Amino acid sequence: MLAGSIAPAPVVPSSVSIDWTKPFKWLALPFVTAGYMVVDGLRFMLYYLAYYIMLGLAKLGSVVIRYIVKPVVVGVATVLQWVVKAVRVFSCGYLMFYPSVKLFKDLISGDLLSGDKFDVLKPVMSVIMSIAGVGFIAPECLQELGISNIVSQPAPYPPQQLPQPSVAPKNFYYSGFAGLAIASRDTLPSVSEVVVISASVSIASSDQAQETIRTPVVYSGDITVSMTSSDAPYYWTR
Amino acid sequence: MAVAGAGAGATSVVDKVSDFLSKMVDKVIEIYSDPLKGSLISIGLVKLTGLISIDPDQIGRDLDKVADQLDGFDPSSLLGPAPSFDITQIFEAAKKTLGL
Repeated sequence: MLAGSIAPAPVVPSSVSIDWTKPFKWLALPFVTAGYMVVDGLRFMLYYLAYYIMLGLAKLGSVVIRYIVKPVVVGVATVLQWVVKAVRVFSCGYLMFYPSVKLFKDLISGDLLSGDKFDVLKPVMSVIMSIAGVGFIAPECLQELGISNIVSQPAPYPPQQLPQPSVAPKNFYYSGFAGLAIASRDTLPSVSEVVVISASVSIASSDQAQETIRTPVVYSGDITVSMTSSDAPYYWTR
Repeated sequence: MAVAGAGAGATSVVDKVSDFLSKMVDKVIEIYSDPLKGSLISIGLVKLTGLISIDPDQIGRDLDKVADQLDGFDPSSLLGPAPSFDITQIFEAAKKTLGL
């Protein structure tokens, strides 16, 4: 501060207002807080009450459906399925056999020709009706009586191809250790090519790796060989 | 006495049911004895039952799906987020209410 300068006068409030309600507010604070706690607590409790009631009902519903409703409904549906199947099989069987058998029986027994014209016409009509009916529902009846399956089965000839004799694969890998791997035309009559894939010794050069079986091939050390042959089996001498 | 009455009632119910069933079977046999009627009814039944397709396995799978959905039900999807019960927040809210 420079000498001789006048310091600013401190600001003094012209009037001080005192909030007389503040102490009462502080006094009321615990009660208001308690009120809030009660309200929030109730909300919290009711929420989780509803939450767990709903969760419990959902789990109960799931168990009821899984272990009570499902077995009953599936059982009833299975019985209905059997009934429908039985009705269809019976109806198809009836249509395909009964009217014709009845007509044949009446013919044999002489009942057919003993009556008037209508007595003859009716059984014949019924057979015609059943034949027409079978024609109308033929695919369903054929399927129901299992005739479609018999018809659609492939002919038993030609016979199924017999499995090939168990032999070594056409291409295989041989991994040996040390010693000698000898392959010659005599011991491997059918092998057309021997390829050395890798060898841990320097004998197996790239040229040797493509060497064919025309001459005996001798390698030592760890070798891995693949063979290609027109037929099997292969013979290996190590 | 009551047991005897219940037994007699059960017997009468069984009798009625067996009577009804035997009459029904007689009627069916009578109808199917006539090849013309039987053929017509058989054709109708085959066509009618062809419309009904019941697959109990599918029904079972559908019910399993419903049960799985109920198993995975989250009530908060209906109730909204869970309310918090934080004493500090409550205190601050009370102070704010009082203007402190």
